[in-house]
Amino acid sequence: MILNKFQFHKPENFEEAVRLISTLDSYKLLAGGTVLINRLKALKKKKLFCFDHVVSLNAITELGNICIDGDLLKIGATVTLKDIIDSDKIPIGMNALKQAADAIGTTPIRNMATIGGNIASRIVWTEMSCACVALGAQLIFVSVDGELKISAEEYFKNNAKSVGILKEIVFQIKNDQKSIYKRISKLSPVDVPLLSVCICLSKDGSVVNDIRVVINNQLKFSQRDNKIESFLMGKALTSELIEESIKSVDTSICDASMNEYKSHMFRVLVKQILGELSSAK
Amino acid sequence: MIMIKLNINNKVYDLEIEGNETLLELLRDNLGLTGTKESCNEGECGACAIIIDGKSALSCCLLAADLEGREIETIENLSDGDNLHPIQESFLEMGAVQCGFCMPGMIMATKALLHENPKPSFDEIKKGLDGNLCRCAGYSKIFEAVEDAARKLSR
Repeated sequence: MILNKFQFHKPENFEEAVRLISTLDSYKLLAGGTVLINRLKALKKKKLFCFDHVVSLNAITELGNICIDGDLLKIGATVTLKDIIDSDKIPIGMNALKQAADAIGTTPIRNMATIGGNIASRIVWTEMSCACVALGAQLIFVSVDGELKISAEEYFKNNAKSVGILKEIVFQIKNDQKSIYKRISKLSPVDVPLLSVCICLSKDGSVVNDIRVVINNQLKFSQRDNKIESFLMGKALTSELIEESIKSVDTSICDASMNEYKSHMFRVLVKQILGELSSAK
Repeated sequence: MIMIKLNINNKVYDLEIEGNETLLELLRDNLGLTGTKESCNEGECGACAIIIDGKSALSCCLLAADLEGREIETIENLSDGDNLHPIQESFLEMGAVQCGFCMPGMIMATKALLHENPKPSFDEIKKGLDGNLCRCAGYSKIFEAVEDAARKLSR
C-alpha cells in the first residue's frame, strides 16, 4: 500500500468527532484529502513517523453547508472550493472568495478540496488564507473545551495553530464592500502562488472608509500591510492616489526576502487591484 | 479491516478493505478495474481521474473507506460491449490518442465537463481538462475531440 497503516474513523456527527479526537494521541483530520493524502504518502516514502488515526469529517453533513444567517455568511469547513465558486449565496462584495477558490489547483482538485482544509493545512502560501484575512473572516473551532472564535488574521499571526476541529468560517456581510484577489504563479494553473494579494474595501462615495490589504509572499502566512492601509484610509481613491500608494507599501513584508521580481509584482498587483476596485460599481 | 459498500459503475460491491487503501489501489489491485491509471500518484497528472457524484476527482488522493454512499464511475463504465461512448469515438476519430496512457483520465474529465457544461467554449474545455497532463503533448487534438464529443452529445 502506498500509505502507512492507520486506523480510519468516520464519525457521523460533529459532537462524536470532537469527542473522538479528544481521546486520540496522534491523528489527522480528513476532508478533501488533496493535501493530507499526499502528505501521508510523503511520510511513508521518507520512512518517517505517520499518524495512527485518520478521522474523516465527510459524514458530518452540517459541515458542508453555506448559509446566510442575518448579516452573516457562514461556510462549513468541508464545503468544497467548487461549491464556493458555484454558490449564489456568496455576496458579490465577497467575490475575492470565489476568485481565490478558482485559483487553486485544477478542476478535480477544486471538486475535492475544501475551504477548511486549505485554511487548516498550515501551508504558508494557501490562497484562501489571503482572502479570509482580507474579508475579516472569523474561524470557529470546536473542542471538548467548547467553542473558540478567532479572527483569521489572528489565527495566521499565530502560525495557523488549530484548536480542535474547524467547524465553520463566518463573514460579516457589508453591502458596500468590494474585494478582489489576484495571484502570480510560475505556471498556470497548477503551480503554487509565488505571490497573492487580496484587497477588500468600502467607500463612501469615492472616499475609502475601510480597507484591508493582505499579502502572501509564499514565505510567511498571509498578513496585512497596515502601512498602505493607513495611507489610503479616508482618501478618495483616484488614479493619482493609487500611484502614490505604491510608495507606501510595507517594505518589511513585500521586499524582505523576496526577489526583485516578486517585489515588483507585489506593487503591480496592488495597483491593478486598487484600479479595478476604484472603478467597480 | 473495514466492511464497506461501494457503488462503482452502478454496481454495489461488498468489500472488506484496509483503512489506508486509496481508491486507485482498490480499483486496480482489488477489483481489477485497471482502466484507471497510476502515474504521478500526487494528484497532479490526472491519469487516475474518475467521476464521483458527477464530478471529476483524483482516485490517488481518495481513501476508499471514505466513499460509502458516493457514486463512483470509472472508464470501464463508458463503453457498452463493443459500442464505444461518443466521447471515446470522438477521441479516436479526431486522432487525440497517441500512447493512450492519459486517455482514461482525459475521457473521464471530458465526461464530467460535458455533464456540467454541454457546450463548453474552447477556454472552458482547457480549464475543464486542466487537471490532465499528456506527455505526448497531444493537447490540440484532445481539445478538438472534446469539441467533437460536445457536438455529438448535443444531437
